Amino acid sequence: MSPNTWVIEMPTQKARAHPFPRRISPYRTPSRDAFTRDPPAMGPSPPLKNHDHPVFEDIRTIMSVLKASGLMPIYEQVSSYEVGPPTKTNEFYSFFVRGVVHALTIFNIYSLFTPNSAQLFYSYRETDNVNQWIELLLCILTYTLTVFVCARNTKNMLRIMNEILELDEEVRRQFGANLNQDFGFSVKFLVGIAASQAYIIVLKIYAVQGVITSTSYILLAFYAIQNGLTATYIVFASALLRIVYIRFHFINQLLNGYTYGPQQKRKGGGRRRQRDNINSYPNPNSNPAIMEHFPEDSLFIYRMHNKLLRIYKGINDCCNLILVSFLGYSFYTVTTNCYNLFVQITAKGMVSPNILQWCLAWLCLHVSLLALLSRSCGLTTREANATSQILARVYAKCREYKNMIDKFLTKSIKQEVQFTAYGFFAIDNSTLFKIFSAVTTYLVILIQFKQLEDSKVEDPVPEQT
Amino acid sequence: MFRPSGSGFRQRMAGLTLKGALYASWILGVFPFTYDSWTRKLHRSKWLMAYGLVLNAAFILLVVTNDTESETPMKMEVFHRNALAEQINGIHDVQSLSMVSLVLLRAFWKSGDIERTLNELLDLQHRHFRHYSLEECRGFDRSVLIKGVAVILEIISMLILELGMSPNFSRQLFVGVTSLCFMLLAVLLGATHFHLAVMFIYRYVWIVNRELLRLVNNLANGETVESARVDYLLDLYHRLLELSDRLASIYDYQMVLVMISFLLANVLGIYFFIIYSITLNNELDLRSVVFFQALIINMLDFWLSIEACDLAERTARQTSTILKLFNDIEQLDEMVERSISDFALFCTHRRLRFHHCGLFYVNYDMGFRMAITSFLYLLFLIQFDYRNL
Repeated sequence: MSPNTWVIEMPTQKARAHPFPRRISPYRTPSRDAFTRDPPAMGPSPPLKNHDHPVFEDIRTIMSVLKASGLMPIYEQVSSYEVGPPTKTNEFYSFFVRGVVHALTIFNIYSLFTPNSAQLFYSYRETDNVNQWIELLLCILTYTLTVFVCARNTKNMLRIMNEILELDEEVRRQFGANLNQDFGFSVKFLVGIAASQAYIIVLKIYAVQGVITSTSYILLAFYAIQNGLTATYIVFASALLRIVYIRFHFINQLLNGYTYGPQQKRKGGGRRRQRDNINSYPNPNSNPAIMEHFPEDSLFIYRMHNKLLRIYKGINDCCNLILVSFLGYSFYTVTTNCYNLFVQITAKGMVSPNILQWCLAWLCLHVSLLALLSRSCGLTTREANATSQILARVYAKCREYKNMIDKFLTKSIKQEVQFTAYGFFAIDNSTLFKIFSAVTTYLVILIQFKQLEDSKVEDPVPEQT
Repeated sequence: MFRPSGSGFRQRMAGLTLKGALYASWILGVFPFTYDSWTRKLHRSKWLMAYGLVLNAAFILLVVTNDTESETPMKMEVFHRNALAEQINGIHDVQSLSMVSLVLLRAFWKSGDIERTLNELLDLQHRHFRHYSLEECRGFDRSVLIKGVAVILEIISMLILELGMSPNFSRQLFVGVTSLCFMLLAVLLGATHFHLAVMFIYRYVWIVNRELLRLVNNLANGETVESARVDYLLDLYHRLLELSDRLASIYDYQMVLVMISFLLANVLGIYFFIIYSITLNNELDLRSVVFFQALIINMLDFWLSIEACDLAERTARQTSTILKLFNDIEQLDEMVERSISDFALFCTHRRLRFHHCGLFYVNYDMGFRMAITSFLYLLFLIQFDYRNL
């Protein structure tokens, strides 16, 4: 619902994208205040910059995995700051992969409901089998939903990427800053996901008695792939959020330069900041002459902030449903695995190392994913909300620009941005806590059920008439 | 107001749904107003009210006297197995009947307020929003359509549930089922009125948003904008918020009761289903399918009532986002800037939210919590009587 209205209303927004460069450009002459704002090193002709500088270099690995699995469009790079829709062949490839995935899903569901898969469910208790079954179904559901939502949001995703690139270009033109950062975490997570899935498969294969049929192999492999890709998508969403976070952070740093002036002395003279590290951005502080750039900078920052909020909301709209189902699935998995661990530990004499490892692998995977997701969301949200706080500090500092700051502040009162899971709840650091408290509650309920079940077995109720 | 908002298929269908709701409400006596096309106002009619009261009282009486529902074999089986289920079912029956009578009574009692609110909506439509094109507001058409479909589905599933479960058809059963359906329809239509009013408010807020966006674009393109325009929009917005508050206060008890009974029905439905299929080891057959579709439709309807409010709330939240776009306009006229600030401050202090009985805001957040809570209650219910399961 929300994305639609937003999209309907937004086309008008595109019209206004044009005036900005025009308005800004007069100030961007090289003669401008030498010590902070030199013109970008490669200067006035970024469009001439070739295609050998691929966009989204920092999250390349994860992008290629998602592209190969049909979750992301295989976009064409038009220029350094624009991506175009995929070519027909590539589009067909994504389409084909998604078709194969759906076919496999149907096959899996079919074999789940027939005795084909019986050998994979081997557990001692009947409830455990039901649990695993539900877990499998939830996994299938989550992945299918991911594929569907990704297919539907292809255009939105490209739009978001273009918006990020456009914003980068503007930042580069204005400040010469290159907002790239190391996204090593995404690669580490990818490796971790692959390793844990492989480990889980091996564990499962060892646990099954007898000869494993090919159907079971397919089931297991596809199950691992589904899990892995869903997890990869979550890492990708976190990486996107991290990208947005870096931009918000850049803006805030910029504003910060206007706040605490007198006590700090400008370091590093008129040198430029390093290209790859926004943190070394020198504060244009203290000097009263600096303040005179505040009006135009503030306009730029306000515009950036609006655009970033739009991107942020766009990402939220794209991932909404996927996040809800992933969180649900993850919650369920964590709960059942905790429960299994509990059962294993309390049952005396029959501790099986296989199940213990299996549970621990799942727990590690899901807990780390949840932590990553909530941390990225929390960081970005905090940074987005911090802008008005920093501006409020500038407010106290200079009287002559109070009007400009007022403009922003009046519109930010009580307007906290939030990254929500379909409006159900906000995802930030507190989500992790909430999920774990819910896990505890359900764990207690499950354990109570187990006790009830045991007592029912021990002392059977007299048969009713 | 009930004219279709455009010539497209969807718009025409939405218009048809609106008309259908209007005529059905007149026939069932839950809309005791007459429309004066000269003054463009609704008038409360005593005769229609009396008609509605008598008719609905007759329905309730017929339902009470012709209650054959609990004799269906499936229920008998369940109740025989689980006495707790029978007790809860009894409570639920009493609750539903009292809910129906309270909802209808309150609708008649508050009809004066409803009349004034609807007249104001009509007035707004005629004076201010008549000139704007409504075609692009897809959320409105879709939501109205889905609500209409949900009401029809609800009735159909009720019919299937009642007729499909009973082994012996008698005159008493038919009378009971027919009156039950009419009674249900009356209540659902009462809830639909609120839903539709919320949708109209949503559409107007949406138009205000669009106008604001247009203003920003004009400014960004270097055109001038009069501050009176912004003030006018603010005035409209203010009136819309006022209206929404009044609407929420008129319909609060009804909506809370309707929601509670939906939730109860869902929890109990799943509970009975569990007893029937798992405890009694019945195979999944046609009857459970019938049962299942009733549950799903019930949930759908419950979710729709939340979605409408959430849609309106989200749209109103966008207003502040749009106002932020005015931030980076250079050389904004001082008057315009002041008006925009006024608007922004107004948005921060008053928001479009539907607050029922001072108990809760209706939005997705609350809907999610309700769903979680009902799941927990289901668990407790199962645990409570686990030995009997």
